[in-house]
Amino acid sequence: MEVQPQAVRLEKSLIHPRQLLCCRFDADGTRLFAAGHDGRLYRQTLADGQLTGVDAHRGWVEVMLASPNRLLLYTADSWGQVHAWRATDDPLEPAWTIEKACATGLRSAALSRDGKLLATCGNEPVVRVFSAGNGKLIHELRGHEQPVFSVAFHPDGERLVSGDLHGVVRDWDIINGQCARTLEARSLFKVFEHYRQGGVRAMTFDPEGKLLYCGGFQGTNANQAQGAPMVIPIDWSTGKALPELTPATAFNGPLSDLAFHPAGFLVGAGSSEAGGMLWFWKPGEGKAVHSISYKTSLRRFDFDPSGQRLAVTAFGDSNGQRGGNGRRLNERQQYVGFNGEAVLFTWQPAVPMNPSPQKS
Amino acid sequence: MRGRSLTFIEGEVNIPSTNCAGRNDWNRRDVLQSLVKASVATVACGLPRALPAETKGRAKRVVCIWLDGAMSQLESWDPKPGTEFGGPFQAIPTSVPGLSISELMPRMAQQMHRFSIIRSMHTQYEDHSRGVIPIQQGDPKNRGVTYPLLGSAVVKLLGKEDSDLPPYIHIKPGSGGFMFQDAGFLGPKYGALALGDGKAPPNLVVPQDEFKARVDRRRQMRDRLNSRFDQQRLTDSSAAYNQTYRVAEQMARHAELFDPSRLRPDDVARYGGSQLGRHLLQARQLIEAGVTFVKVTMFHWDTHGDNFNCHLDGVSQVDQALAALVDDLVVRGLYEETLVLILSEFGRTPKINARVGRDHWPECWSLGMGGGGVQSGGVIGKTNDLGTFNAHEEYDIGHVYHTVFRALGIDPLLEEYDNGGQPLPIANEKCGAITQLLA
Repeated sequence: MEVQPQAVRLEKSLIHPRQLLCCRFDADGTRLFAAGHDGRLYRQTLADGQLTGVDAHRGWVEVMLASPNRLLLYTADSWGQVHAWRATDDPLEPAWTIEKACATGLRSAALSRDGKLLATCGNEPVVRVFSAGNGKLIHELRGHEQPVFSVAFHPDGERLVSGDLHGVVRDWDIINGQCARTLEARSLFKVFEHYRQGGVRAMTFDPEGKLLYCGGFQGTNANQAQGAPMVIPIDWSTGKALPELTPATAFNGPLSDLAFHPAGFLVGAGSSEAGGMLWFWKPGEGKAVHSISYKTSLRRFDFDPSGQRLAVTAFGDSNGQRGGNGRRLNERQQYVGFNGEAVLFTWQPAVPMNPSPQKS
Repeated sequence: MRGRSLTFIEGEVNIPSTNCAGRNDWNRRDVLQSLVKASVATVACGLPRALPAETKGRAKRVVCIWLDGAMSQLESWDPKPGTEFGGPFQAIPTSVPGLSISELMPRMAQQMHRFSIIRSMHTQYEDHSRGVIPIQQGDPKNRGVTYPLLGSAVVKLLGKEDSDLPPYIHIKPGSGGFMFQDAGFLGPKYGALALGDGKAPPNLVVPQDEFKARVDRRRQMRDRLNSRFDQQRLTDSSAAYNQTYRVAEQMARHAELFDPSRLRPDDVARYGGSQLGRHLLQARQLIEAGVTFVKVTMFHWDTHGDNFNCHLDGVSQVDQALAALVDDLVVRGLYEETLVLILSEFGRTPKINARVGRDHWPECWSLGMGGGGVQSGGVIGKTNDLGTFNAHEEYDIGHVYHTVFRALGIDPLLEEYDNGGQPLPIANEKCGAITQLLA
């Protein structure tokens, strides 16, 4: 079935106890793994919403990755711990663990297209590459001068890129662990007096590996993460930045995830004070061809194996809490945090309503 | 310093009864009356007159770091890692056994045997417009007058207004100038000299040779005219104008202290190379030179969005600069005489909002204090396991004002302002000093 960005629609929202950060579909697309603030790894059956979970991490689960056949799952937390899981195990148990993939503040991770290499980065100027089969350290890549916000493998499996706070992108040769060149996405970085704002918050390649897309935002103040989301395409052969991709309509907040749909269009997710947004860009077009809003901030997303569904984690509260100053207690006089959502969007046609019963 | 032990780690404090607002039930007038009675009784018995209260404050100067917009207690002094509202960061051990602070403060972690934290602040205002000034005034009872900010109050109460250097200097980003409004009813004499971006006002160089003589004659004439004018028509504005001249003259005599371009690069690097670092390095130099009160402001802490990235950047700057300041003051033998205070107008919500931010939270928050007149290596107060509310005793900013004054050897229970014949307490009379924190 051909998938057009404009045909996407909201399917349903799956409520979780706590704010979510990342998710992945299982191999047949019938179950969704999700994780976030509470460090638990949840597995939810999409048909009936049945939810199970295991204690998995101590910090925030920032990243979740799936092997090409989706039988292996990788989770990484903000304290630097990485677990590999067999997705079909019940109950879930880590197959192996990297205790400290990042010295401080792990932010992102990526898996090579063949599923053999795992790269991590965080609040240090170091990128680490591990065997995705056993967690053994292969490379410690040094060269950045700032915290590294995101990593992505080139589809050819020989190169890895990493983007830092200042918008500097390093192109690493995975074979020898050397930095082959430095690329630039510096317009994703701003300085306001003492605050350094922005960074390369998400990266992805097009399926052929001809373009690298670096996502973030153009900050307009020091401490509110306000500003227009932006994607900078970089021509992989020349290393030159091309005209930016932007939303078609105004949006005031950072882009948080970026990935190519199997049908060949680019999807981005973002968050703002007003809620979340998904943007859809077609190759060669600078403005998003479509966008769909959601009531609360959106973080990381995944496509199901058929490409007919998109699941995205929502960071806001399904009950309508929007934050705010001071003591805000619920009707039971309790101070409660936000819950989380995994929100499903679909390209499948809507199920027609049952025809009205005929009058006898 | 390291060997000095405290018994109040993790917040078992013992202040007289407090009401729900965290303030003591007794007031200044009650205490004064009881002290008068006690001293009369003592003299009547023929015994040496007892000191009414311990007033052995040792601090002579203050560095006050104001983090405008409100730093998160959870990403600094009171981390709750691995809990519902704890955020993504970890806690790290410090040089004080049993005490952990945020991993964003590794350098201060090594200085904590020289520093103390109040973790159970509870203040009254949840927005900036209502909170910033009252917090810096010690939130006094409203008596229809404008109270001075802490810097002006300290200069007045220590009697340092006529020193050779401007006694109250405010180093801040942006513009500078003479901030006479800080002084409130004390009058412009006690206002702050603000160094915008750490720079002195332009044209500070004193003219030399024959031109200097002309300038001196002009000043003498101006003083005569001002004196005549002031006798009949002195207003706050004209007093501020006169004070500006006096401050300019003081600065001109010490121009090298107000020139940030003279900061040594290796010192700048030790302080982190940030704007705050340069400003705290200047503060240290000014304290060395004898300035009584240096306030250093760092803006942009109002992290309603992207709280954790902002704190990663901001707290790291605070950590390096503050640790270097403490270190330098110790090395120079000034730490025992210098009170270092770091605070904001409130804390930030435990709840993490939909923009990955934290909002305003006066319910329970932390501030740091170290150096002269106060204990080191301690923690006053405790928040509950989730960091949502104070677990036991809590302290308002009035308690901190009392404590700062006591650390400076000023007894808020005995001293008061004279506002044109109107006696006014120097600190909120519903509060008292946090005696456990005093040296």
